[in-house]
Amino acid sequence: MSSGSGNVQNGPAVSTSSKKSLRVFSDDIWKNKTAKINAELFTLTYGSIVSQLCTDFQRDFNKVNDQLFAMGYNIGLRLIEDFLARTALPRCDTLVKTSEVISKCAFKIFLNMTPQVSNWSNNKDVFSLILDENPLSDFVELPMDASKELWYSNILCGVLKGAMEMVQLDCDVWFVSDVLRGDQHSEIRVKLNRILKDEIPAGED
Amino acid sequence: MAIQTVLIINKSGGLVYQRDFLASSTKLSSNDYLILAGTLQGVTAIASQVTPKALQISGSNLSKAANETEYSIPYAGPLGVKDQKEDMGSFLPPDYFTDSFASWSKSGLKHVTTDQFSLFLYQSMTGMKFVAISTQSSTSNMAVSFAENFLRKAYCLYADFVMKNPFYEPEMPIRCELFDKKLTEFVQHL
Amino acid sequence: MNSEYDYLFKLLLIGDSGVGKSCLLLRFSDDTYTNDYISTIGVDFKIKTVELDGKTVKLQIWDTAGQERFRTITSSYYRGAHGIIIVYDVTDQDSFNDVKMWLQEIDRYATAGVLKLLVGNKSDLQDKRVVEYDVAKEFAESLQIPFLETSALDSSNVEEAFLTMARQIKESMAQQHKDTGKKDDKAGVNLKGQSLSNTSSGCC
Repeated sequence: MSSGSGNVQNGPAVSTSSKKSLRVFSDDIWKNKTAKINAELFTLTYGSIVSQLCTDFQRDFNKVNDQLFAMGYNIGLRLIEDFLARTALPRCDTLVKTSEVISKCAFKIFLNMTPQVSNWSNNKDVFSLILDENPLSDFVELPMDASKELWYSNILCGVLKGAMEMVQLDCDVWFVSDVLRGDQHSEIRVKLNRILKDEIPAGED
Repeated sequence: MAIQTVLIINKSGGLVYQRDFLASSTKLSSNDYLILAGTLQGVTAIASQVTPKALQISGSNLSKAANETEYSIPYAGPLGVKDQKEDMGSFLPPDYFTDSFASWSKSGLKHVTTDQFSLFLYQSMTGMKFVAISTQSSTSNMAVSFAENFLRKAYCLYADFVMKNPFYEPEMPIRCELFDKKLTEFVQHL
Repeated sequence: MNSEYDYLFKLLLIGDSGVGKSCLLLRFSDDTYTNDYISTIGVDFKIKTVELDGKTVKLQIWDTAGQERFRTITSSYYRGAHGIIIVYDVTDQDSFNDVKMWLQEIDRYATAGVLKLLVGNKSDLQDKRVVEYDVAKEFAESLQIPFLETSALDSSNVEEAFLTMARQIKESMAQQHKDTGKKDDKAGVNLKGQSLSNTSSGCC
């Protein structure tokens, strides 16, 4: 039995791969490795879910936000395996690196967009993702009664929360502004509460 | 190298999947496999504890070096795998992997070899363990790299046909026929 | 079909060494023989197959070593446990006093909301008893943990307790599906083995 530290990089595999920046790397995966569907169908599917939830919860938009978050959370728990299998990225050693991977890689691969990372807190445990575009809400206008309460794309927060929890990062994720509500830009805030050290699988140092 | 058995162990050490691909005279009962899975969980923890500190440091340095700003695309042409036309899920072909798979587990158990068989283990960052038992005793770098590729691909199939099945209950036994089918096809094409 | 069972629940058995944890389950588990891994890797396994509402459920019981030298490893065995059984010896006051320490370990390492059960073992040794039933019962009630006493002579109530626990785990799983979306629902078992549970598992 061996415990393979200093993982060997030799073997029969022809190492044709050249080292790339995260941006080029992610672009390559998005272009060449990912099956794609029609964006309109995707937007419509999500739209019909949100509007149905608004009906089901009798326009209690806080409940709709929670439900979208919970749905996203369950997606995140599952989607993280796809992300890790697809990219084989190493563990990020700082939240700065995590933010970079989320924006340049995860958002790129799954939504073909790259939010800006900004508004770092002083001790680098809170940051914002600024969404310049948002394929979920391309054609959306919020009704009057929803425009102060509904976070239309709240599912994204849930996905981030669930996915990060699976790699042992306990975070809070929430929207602080959304262009749909008339704000300047759409901003998701991510706060790292703690690293779930006890849950990091044995063998990782 | 023929794959005899594939096991999938969840992050709490529970066996959620087990499949034999060869008719074997020594069949373990499902309870024995459960015990094997739990034992592997324990041995992995112990292996990482007995790893000398010096090795742990060099291990993390390596991952840092690879992490600096450069990333390599992990995909390459087939590796010891016959030309494959079948649809293998959402990961578009060719999707076999160039580098021997840089497992996240730096000090955990990777393989066990006896004169009769080899057992290979790959652990995901989420703590899932994928185990392949082969009929031959093989310790060469080639075999290890081959096994890592195989397990990595099994992880991709899991990400597709298990985790994306909305009716699959995470952490519970995997009863997904599609996954069964794809994994069997994959093993048979090796 | 691949898996012979529909559900796999992880139960953890903890308590000081010498309280008779292993004997407790001998007659309960599928296999009557004892495998002895516990001295090697700090844990031994007992498996019981039960039928619940037409579903086959495997209860995999992780019987951990009480000895100090395994402590760092056994903590990793708490991961993802659905239920935890804390055992003490009614003839050994120290083992009862240590229950508090074991409960702290549960708080530290196990999933919030994990099901617990307190078991006083060797209740047949009446003349050597030092931990009174009422004292233990009161203690368990103050913590809202089910409690029972048992002995090697008659362990039927342990079996019953295990089955009850299995049923509760399965129910809380079904409950979680219904509760998807109730963000602050902390009740029930978290099936994903994470120490925080503000949302629930279920289909996406």
